[in-house]
Amino acid sequence: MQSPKIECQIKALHMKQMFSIIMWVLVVMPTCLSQESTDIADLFKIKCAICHTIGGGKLIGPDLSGVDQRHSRDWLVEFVRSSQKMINRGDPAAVALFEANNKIQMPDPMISDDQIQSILDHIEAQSGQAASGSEYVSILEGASPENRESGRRLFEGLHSFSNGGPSCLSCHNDISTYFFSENSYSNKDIRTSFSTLGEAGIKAILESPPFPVMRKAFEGRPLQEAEIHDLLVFLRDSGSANAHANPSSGYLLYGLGGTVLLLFLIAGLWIERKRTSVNHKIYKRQIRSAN
Amino acid sequence: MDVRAQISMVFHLDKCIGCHTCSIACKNIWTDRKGAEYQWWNNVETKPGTGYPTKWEDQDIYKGGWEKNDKSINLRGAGKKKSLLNIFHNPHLPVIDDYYEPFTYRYLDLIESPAMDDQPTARPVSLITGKPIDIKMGPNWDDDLSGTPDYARKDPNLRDLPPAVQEAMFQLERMAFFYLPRICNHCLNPACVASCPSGAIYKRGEDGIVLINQQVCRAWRMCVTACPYKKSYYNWHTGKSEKCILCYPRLEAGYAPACMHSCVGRIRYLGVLLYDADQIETAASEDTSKLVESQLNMLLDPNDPEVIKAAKASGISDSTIKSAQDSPTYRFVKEWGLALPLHPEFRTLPMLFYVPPLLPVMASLGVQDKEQGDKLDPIAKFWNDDWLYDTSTDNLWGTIEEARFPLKYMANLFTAGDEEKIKDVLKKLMAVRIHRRGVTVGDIPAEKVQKALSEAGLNAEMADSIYKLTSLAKFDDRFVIPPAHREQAIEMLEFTGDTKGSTGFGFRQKPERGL
Ligand code: SF4
Ligand code: SF4
Repeated sequence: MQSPKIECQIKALHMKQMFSIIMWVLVVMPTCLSQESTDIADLFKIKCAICHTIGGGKLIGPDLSGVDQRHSRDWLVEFVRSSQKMINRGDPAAVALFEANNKIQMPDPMISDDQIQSILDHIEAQSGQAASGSEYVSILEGASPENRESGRRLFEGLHSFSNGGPSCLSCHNDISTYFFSENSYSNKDIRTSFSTLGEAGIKAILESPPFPVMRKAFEGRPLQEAEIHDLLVFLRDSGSANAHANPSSGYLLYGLGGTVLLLFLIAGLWIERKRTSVNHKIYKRQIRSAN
Repeated sequence: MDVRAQISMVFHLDKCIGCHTCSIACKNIWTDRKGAEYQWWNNVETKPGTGYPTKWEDQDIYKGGWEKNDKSINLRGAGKKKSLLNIFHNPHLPVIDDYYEPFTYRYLDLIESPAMDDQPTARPVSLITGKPIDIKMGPNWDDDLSGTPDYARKDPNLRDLPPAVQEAMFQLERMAFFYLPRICNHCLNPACVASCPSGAIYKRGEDGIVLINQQVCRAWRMCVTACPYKKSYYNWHTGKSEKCILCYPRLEAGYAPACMHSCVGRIRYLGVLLYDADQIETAASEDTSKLVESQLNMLLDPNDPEVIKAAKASGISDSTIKSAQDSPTYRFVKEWGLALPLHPEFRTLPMLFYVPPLLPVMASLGVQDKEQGDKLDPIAKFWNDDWLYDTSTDNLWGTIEEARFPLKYMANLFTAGDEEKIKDVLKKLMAVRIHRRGVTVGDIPAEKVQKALSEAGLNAEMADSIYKLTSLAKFDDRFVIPPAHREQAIEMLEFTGDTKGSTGFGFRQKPERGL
């Protein structure tokens, strides 16, 4: 029979082997795979194509065709790695881009610098060729008020999404009832989103959300085509209707009115309170005579 | 009959010399702590005066105590409904300036000061903020009638005295004052207990001491408002309210409370009273004129076999009944009817009784020489030859009615305005003096003495025992402390064998602030 000590050592050996195998799977394998150039086009599709085209015109972000002529390679790598850092740092070119694209921040793609390089190579190679996408054709032709209503119900969570994704209202302003919207738990005010991003942009976001939190929320429970359609109708109609309503003015007024009312109530409720110290007069006189 | 035992106190005001030793004894032992500096569980006030906190007796300001309604009584400034309404702001709470901002001096400045032409001074600093302050007030700022225009003349007890009488009280040649030492009254109908929303205040079953549980107190401070005697104080440092504990740890060990033990004038008496708890509500709801009477009626004769039987049935131990029989407070309050509760109109049924001061009533003022008087400045002392201590006039009681202190003033303090009652007590005190003068000096004819005694409802024997307990009482005569039987109490809670012989000290549980 083995002594317990030896048994322990054997176990430790197994553990070490297991560990290196896991490490290999986790670290080495993906690097090998990513080096396969055929996968770069797929990577571009997953990470970039939601917002960008190469020669197909602007979606959410700018058309990337010829981007290597507009910026240096080093700058591009750094920007792709984390555009937010550059913007925060005040890099003029990065800030200009941010401003030019409706102040929508590009999410960090979470890929290695080597992968970024290969994607940039891929863009450079594609740039000369013909447009990778064709002209966007609107799908909202002939939408009815019913579609709009169904979009609203989906937005507000009155109807669940068929695949179980969270309703829009969980994170975004209710754009049809804007009254207290300044105060809601909103992530991004999307009242003007339709007009700034356009149908194509929003559709792309809804089909495959690029923002980390949103992507996580809809992971494995994508929106159905009909749902996207209705949501788009709703966003188009109500967004344009309320885009310029100013939610804070009403809120402020009500707040001020409420405060005044409360103050009166408090003053009335404690009208008989003891206002000063009983020694107040004595102190006042003493201080006066001391001066 | 629901008989209960109460440790009660009697303060004999004629004997108080206003030395404040009692206050200091209490301060040293209990309240010399951060947050408690301004708390004077025992304080001594000069009367007339506004006391501590200023004008505490004026319930129009502080809304303390109970108020009579049709059938029963309500708390004036607290209680369920009012507390709920005022849950975020207690509108009648005293502020620190109603007391005073406690201070100390930077004594080190005296030692560390460099050599200068002038002598260094120690600046006063606030014990609350730690910053230098100008001292504006202290706990006995109006001591010995100092600052009379600000304090003595604003005494709430002067309220229904005619202005002329008030004026007379403060004329220089008539000036008189006495001291009123105060502690928590450990009331039978305590407003503090009734007002506490957390149920942190309780009256101990075995001896009636009213205590605030520091673990349960949630800093509502309703007791501070509710206690008409302003004897519950808020500790801003610990966030708990505190009050006089009648030195219960000392009592349980058989010692008198520190204030009583140290009392220089030996004015304080302590002993058990048995009372009928069934009568509390009716007694507290009586008409103002009958309040004192109904309170005294609740107190039971500890020698009555019926009472003893009922006391035993309520679980009062034989040793406590024995203390009640020997109690000096029972003699002062019930047997002799010499001691009265302070401000019975607050309806808390206080269990601290006062023998009112006779003051120099034995002096009769002669007729003043008008012509001569007019020549003097009005403020000058006015003497004339008729002025003498006259103790043997025919008009014995006349001097009491024309006492230097208007009866009405005394009545406002001790009998809810009933002058007759206070006169009865003063007559008794006077009769004892006359009797003793007859015995010791012998210049008063026997029948005059007899007349004085019988008019006061006393006899020579009683007068002698009053005299003895007043003037000659030894420590054990003044304090008859019932054995606390701690051994039994402890054995109810734990097996004493476990800790036998083990000793130690320190906090058992540190009180924590807030929830
Ligand atoms: S004197 Fe005040 S604090 Fe003391 S028992 Fe009475 S009500 Fe409570
Ligand atoms: S120690 Fe006694 S005599 Fe002195 S002030 Fe206190 S009660 Fe009066």
